[in-house]
Amino acid sequence: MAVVSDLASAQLAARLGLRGQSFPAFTDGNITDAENDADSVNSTFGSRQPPDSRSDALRQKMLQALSDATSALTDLRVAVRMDDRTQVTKALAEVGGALRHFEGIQQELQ
Amino acid sequence: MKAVMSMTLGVMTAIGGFVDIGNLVTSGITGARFGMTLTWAVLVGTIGMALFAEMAGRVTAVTRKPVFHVVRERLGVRVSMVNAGASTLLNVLTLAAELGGVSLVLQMVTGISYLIWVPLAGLAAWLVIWRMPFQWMENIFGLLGLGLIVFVVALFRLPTDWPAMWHQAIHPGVPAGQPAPTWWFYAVTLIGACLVPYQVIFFSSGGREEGWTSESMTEMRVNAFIGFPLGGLLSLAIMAAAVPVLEPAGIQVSHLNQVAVPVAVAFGRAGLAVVFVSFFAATFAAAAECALSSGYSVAQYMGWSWGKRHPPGAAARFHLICLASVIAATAFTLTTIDPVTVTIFAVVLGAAAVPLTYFPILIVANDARLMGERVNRRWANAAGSFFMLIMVVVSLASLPLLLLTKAGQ
Repeated sequence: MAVVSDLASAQLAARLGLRGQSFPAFTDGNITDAENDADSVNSTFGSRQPPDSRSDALRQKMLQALSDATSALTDLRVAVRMDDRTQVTKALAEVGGALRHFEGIQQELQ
Repeated sequence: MKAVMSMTLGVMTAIGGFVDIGNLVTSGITGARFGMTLTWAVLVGTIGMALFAEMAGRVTAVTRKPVFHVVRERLGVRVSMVNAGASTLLNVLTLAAELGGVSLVLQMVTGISYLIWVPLAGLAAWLVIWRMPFQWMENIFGLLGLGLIVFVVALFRLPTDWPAMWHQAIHPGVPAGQPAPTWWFYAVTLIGACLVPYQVIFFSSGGREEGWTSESMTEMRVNAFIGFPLGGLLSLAIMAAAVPVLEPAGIQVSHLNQVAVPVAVAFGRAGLAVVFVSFFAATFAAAAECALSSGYSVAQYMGWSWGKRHPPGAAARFHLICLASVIAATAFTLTTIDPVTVTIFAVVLGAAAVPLTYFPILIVANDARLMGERVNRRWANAAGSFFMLIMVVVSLASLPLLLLTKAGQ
């Protein structure tokens, strides 16, 4: 799932930044790319027409998860650009929550 | 010392020719997504490139003419026009990808959008082509590009599962959960990234720039049989470094900066700094080589004076073609099409056109009238024919796979 990759990529980049293993512009670039990609998936998925009511229920659940993921990535990007370690740590927890949400959905679907 | 210096061409072609934006992107994507299961594709591309580069270099050294000049003389103006036209178009597309790569590296370092850097990267590439002596260009970017060895060293610092990676490498197969057409598509991209046409044009024309003769055969063979495999090894190291870092986290590479992340995990900022310099050197050198190759192809086909060994005024039309290709590629990159997407298309279209570039080399290198005692031996013909068969299969499969997988989705 593309958004899981985006979340994991941003999470790894932010952790590297927190540990001083990365340059600010590099960390920012990785997180911004992940945010843009997740936003693109969100828009594309939101424009799809579900074929039946069961699919619509799944669509609603996915849209909420995608929206949470995009929002978490935006918060992470803002915190990283402000160089606010406390906010970065908080946003990382949000990203982790969004990742777990997607893992839960994946397990439900299997 | 002189012998060591002359080997720099091999290092340069290994880094600038092999590890360019195509290798960086395709190795990163495949390592993160398929582990080491596509090692064979890099080996096929590397061996094919070394084999045909040796033939092209031998033709150049014996006839004292670049290989596509000989192709035109041997196969005629019409046949070689297809070759020269396809090569030039692909060179410009590849140049656009390389300029995008240079700009993405500058974006990684500065945080300023790559689109701002594209015109500056184009201008810098043209200035290097116009003003910098050929050997300076080779030595400076070749040595800086060697920084890619950091990916090899990183493997010893990362939690690399060597037995598992080795098992994947020697037991190729589509990993569980991955679609087979996509796996095959990326196999094609890896082979295409090793066999891009500008490499062989630059190699043989560069041989003339360096004044190769029959006495240069050893140097040329060292370049082809040691330099290129070294480049292939670095491609594999980039692929392998993604395996312990990106694959377990479920990260799929879709941006160039993600390819650098494993080195940041291993060595932090120091490692990243080395990656930035070596990515820049590899992509910038390849950009210069692509633009030069456009000039070489057209000027050699038209019979114009060509090469950096002449002052620009004495090879004005050659330099004009180089400049025109830089302008066209810069304009293409500025359309905001994602440079990684441009790279994927460039290597796939390159793979589709591979036989057009390589088949004439096989014919010319096998012409006893031209080559005398340096004509292809039986083993070279057998190996060349075998790889030509592979190239035809790759060529035929490339476009259907591109459409079927929506460019590797």
